Amino acid sequence: MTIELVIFWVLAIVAVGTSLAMIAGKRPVHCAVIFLGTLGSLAGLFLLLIAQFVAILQVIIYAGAILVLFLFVIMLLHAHSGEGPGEKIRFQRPLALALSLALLVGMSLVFWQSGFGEAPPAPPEGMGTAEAVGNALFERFILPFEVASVLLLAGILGAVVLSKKERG
Amino acid sequence: METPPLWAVLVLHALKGLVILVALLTAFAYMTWLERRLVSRFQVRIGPNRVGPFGLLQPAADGIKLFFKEDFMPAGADRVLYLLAPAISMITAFVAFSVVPFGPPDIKLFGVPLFQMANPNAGILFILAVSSIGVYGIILGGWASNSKYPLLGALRSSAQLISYELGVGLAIVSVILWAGTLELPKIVEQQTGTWFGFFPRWNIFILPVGPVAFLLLLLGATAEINRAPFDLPEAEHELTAGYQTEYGGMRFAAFYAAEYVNMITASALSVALFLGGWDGPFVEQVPLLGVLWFLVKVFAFVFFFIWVRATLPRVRYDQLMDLGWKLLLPLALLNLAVTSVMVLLWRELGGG
Amino acid sequence: MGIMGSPVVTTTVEQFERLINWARRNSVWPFQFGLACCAIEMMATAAARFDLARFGAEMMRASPRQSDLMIVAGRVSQKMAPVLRHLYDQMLEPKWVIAMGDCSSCGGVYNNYALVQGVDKIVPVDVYVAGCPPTPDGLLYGFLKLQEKIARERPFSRPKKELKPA
Repeated sequence: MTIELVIFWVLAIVAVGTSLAMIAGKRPVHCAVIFLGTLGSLAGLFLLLIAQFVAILQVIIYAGAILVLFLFVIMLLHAHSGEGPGEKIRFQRPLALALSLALLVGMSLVFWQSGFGEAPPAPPEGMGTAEAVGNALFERFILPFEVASVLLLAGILGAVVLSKKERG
Repeated sequence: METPPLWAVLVLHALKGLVILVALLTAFAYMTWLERRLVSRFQVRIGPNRVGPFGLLQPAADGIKLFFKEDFMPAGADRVLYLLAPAISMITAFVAFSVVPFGPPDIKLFGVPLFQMANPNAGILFILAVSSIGVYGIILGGWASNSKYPLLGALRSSAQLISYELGVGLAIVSVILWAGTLELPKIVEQQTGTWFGFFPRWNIFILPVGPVAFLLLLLGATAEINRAPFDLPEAEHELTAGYQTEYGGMRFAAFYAAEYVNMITASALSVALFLGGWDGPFVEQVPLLGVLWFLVKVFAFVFFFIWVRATLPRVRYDQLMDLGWKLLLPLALLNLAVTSVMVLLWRELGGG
Repeated sequence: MGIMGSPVVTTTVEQFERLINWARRNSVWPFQFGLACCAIEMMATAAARFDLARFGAEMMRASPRQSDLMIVAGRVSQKMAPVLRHLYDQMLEPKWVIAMGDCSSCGGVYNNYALVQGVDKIVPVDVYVAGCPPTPDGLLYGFLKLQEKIARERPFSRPKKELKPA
């Protein structure tokens, strides 16, 4: 067993464990903090692939910005107890279960087709560096990239419209 | 040259870490003393001078006193998070310093560069990532205290940090564009040497974008490390002591240490990105002199931060947000665009 | 006797207590609040001419959790009394109180129903500073007296402070 494999298993178990704990947790603030652990172990997995840039982006964007905003909202809404509201959508739980099962089946199929027993191919040279990510974003995936930016713009406009509404 | 034994390298790394840690802690202690003395001077007072010569033992007295204060937890506090928050703050502050190069990388022992703890190939981003984790210390500390002032302070500080992180990030990106690398030692090395034989090639002198980016970083960093005039998270006239209101004793000291170490890191980062890091006269002849130049520059920044604190009144919260979103961010974007055009032109014209 | 009574241990403990006392008396952080005109004199004590900072005591903390010394600067009304006591309780041990001025020491000129006749009825006072209001030198002298008092304390066998019987 190589050292990489040991680290991989530790990180993988931590990632899955913290994800489960996050779903099972009662207080939203605790869930958010546990989710931080998930993000950290994912960043560690990226580091194992020698993708330092992606790992650090993971931390900056998800842990540094998105999760902070989550915490922000949780604290503003439920400052005292830190407890969330009850369920609002009636079929939320069964629907969530069905959807995640579908996702699991889909991903298993992909893995099944790629073959389990063989050794994974070595990541290409320079994968996950700033240069590689930039090239991929601006050449191969330029269309999805631009579509995503339009989507974000729509979100920003929506936020402006919602906050302007009260003044009439 | 034969490869050094593994244990020697490991021991060397550990020793290096220990030395940096102790140096940072000492620097923190004496920065509190320096700040009190300097602010006193600015206010035509004398400042602490009774405890040891020139009051030099004042930090020791403060430390021992805080260590022997009552151990305390507010009623209804979230136990785990209350204890975790100061630790997160302090650890991230120290970790962020680990990628700062404070001397030429050529000076090596057993192939280990002596003047930098670690050199990941995304060094600058590492500092940004770690400092964005540091926000959790403040937010969780404010929330876990189960009290109103800390919560308000925590919300303020998280909003402030997110807002100014953008401006700082864009200012840093323009430096990265110039340098073409994310590694701090390489960025500093590109700034060594001179233009026309006498003028230092520091990034701040790249007209017109250098000074603008430098100012953006300076303002943003002041807001990110919660120093006056942007110290709204702990504005004592509105929020008692902000997120640390319910913290006393050593846990309070941990928050305080985090603030000061962040100040050192911000100064060191500004120096490395814009003021040529360890570059200075006679460094080529005597490389060890580089460390001295670096420390002198960092000290100048620390002095500047203290000076600003003694001079400027605290801004209002909406003014802070206006400055961040309506002035700094557009300016940073414009600066970035100009920088990109300049870099492209430079390459087209066959520059290096 | 046992090991605790041996002279070596006693001396070590004494030295240690001395160290702690040295730290405590040189790093007394006052609680940042004032109640009346005495507060102006307290500010003057911290300002340029008298400079409380020389003794390491200019770190006026706004939070009771971080402060060691409560300077009751001014008259304490009956309505303020519970608040004052609450703030005192929120301070972390070890903590000290200076009753600054006649009003907080004994009621002063306000010999009436509205004011607490001496703040020592609600919090244990270590040093009384006379004057109406006391000059900054007066407060400084009181502060030095408090430092002397801290130097005499035994941190490892600290007796509980009692309120003066009413």
